[in-house]
Amino acid sequence: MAEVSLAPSQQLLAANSDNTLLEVNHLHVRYPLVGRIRAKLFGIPNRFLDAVLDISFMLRRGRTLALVGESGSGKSTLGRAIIGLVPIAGGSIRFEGAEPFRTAKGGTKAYHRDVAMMFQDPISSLSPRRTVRSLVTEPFVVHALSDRDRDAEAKRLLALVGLPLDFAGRYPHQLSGGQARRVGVARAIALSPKLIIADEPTAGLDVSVQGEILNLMNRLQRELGLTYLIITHNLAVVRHVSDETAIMYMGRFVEHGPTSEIFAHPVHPYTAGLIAAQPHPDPAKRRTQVALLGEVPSMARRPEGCEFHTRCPGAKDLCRQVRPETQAISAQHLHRCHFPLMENLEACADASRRVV
Amino acid sequence: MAAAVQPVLETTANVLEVRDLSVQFRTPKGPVMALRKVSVAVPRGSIVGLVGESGSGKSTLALAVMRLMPANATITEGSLRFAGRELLTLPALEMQRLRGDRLSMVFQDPMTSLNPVRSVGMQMVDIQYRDRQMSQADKRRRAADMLRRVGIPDSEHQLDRHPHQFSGGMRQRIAIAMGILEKPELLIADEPTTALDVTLEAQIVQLLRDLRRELNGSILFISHNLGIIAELCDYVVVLYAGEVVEQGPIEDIFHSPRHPYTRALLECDPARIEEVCRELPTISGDVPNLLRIPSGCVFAPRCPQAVDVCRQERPADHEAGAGHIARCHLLRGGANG
Repeated sequence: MAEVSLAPSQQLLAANSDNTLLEVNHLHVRYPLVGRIRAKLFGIPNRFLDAVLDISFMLRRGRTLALVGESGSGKSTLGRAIIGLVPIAGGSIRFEGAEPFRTAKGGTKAYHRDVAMMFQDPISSLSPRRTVRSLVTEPFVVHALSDRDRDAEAKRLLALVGLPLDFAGRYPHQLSGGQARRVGVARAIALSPKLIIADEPTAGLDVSVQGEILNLMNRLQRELGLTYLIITHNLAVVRHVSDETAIMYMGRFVEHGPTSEIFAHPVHPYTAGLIAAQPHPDPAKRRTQVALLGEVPSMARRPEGCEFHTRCPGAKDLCRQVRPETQAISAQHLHRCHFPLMENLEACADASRRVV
Repeated sequence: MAAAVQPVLETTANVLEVRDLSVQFRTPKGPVMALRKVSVAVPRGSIVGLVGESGSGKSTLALAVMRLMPANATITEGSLRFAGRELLTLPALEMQRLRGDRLSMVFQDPMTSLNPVRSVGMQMVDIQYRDRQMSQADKRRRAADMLRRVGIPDSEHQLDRHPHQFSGGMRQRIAIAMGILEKPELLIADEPTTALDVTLEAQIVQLLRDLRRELNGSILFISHNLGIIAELCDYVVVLYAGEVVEQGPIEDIFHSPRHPYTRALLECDPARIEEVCRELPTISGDVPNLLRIPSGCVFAPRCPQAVDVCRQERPADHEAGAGHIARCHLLRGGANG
């Protein structure tokens, strides 16, 4: 790479991109509301539902980004689009500087070795007819790595995720929820990926087991240098395990920044509402008011202006008419709100000034 | 058919009194003692939380109270008194009369508890079958009223829609509306918010609080989520591997838990950990296999403070405060565990 010829600002970008594993630019994902054949046959203009809209972010190596939002916010779709399970309607995804879906077939296959997915609900994502040994070594078959000793690999993977070796002969129905998650983790790390997309890694687990799985993921991140994109609605977990948090609402990032700052000083009213909606674990500090009323509107009927105005306690006329653009508080902390929460905004600005 | 009429003792302060209840499941591998000598009381007008990990017997207890247990389950001992009446000896028909009327239940997954091929309105009229005097139109009006109470706008029109046309949160509201339609004395809610987002969970909690106040009903609330128990309940019962290890008023349990399991469970909750930490606390070891219940205390194999006696003898209940009971050897002789 002839970096010398680049403009200074681009040089900076290039230097940064060394550390950047994943770069998502203006990503747009939409689902057709009318089937393609029906649309053709009856000549109906096809309508689409925008599940992910104009999302841009960068994820650096070894970091953990948490995608947070209510059900229907598009967070799972974003994860699926990044790994290529749903087609992209616009924007780009760059992984280690290359666009995996715009290269030849071989490039996509290599990408799928570097990026692994941990699916929601591990029991149902594991084939009930296959043993744990067969499940954790399946990625080698899919990627035609027949030279690998599957028994040795199964042993290595089970040891990595902390399952006894005799589990290799078990079937998914013989596993507890926590053990099934561990098998899911083993499958995800089988091909030594660089990025793991974990969709609700602890949903449905008891608190004691939840801690075990998160600790395992944390250990693997340190040992194997993994980068995580964690999709979850559990804010209590996000606060402990992620470096950055992005809050999604109706397919957009409404706030994105360092986790500690987001939790201490949320500037978007939706973020503040989500945090306030967490049950307080002290019975002496019960909430008497509900922080966020209603539910996420249907994506098929996207509100005008700011999508959150229908539920926002501070919505004004401007919010109902004009869609807010992304604004930066600091280089890391972005939001999309006409009237961000002022106190917290100032606290964030103070913090970033101190850093500078 | 004519059942011996039992004198109804309305004087009791407890709507539900479960005493020494033991439930056994017959399995191909042998009998599983899912509940062992469980005693729980729900005082009239209060919300009692039943907390425990999966497999601790929470749902078994709920189903035992409703007498809706699977065919391979038997109640081997104990008593279940509802409003002063013994449910275990109640003829099936009498039980049927109580269920859905004075005693009702909301399940975890509203999609499977609502009938997918009948409209919500029809289902809500159906469950008012006991009232022969009231007209269909009146029953519909009552159903619409109840839907409005649980926060469903435009409820008259919603009656004609089917369950799949509602979002998950709306469906759970409908399930709750159906559960309280006949103004039950006791509502059993089995993880009613587990599948919902926190924002909706907060709304359902508020709804249950309001309903308790308006209807003066009692709720047995089952959850593995400590946060929501702290938000909603007056009393807490902690179940572990089929036994009640600790129970008491909410403040006592959350502020001064006496049983090592309760303490460990509270410590594991990431929402309670103020300092951000990557390494989260866990409870080491596994829940015991109920086919082979350990001799001694059920929690001893995982207990960080276990001493010899814990592995040999079953601990007795110790009173740690007014209505606060913990089953632990370490509390014997007033020693602070």
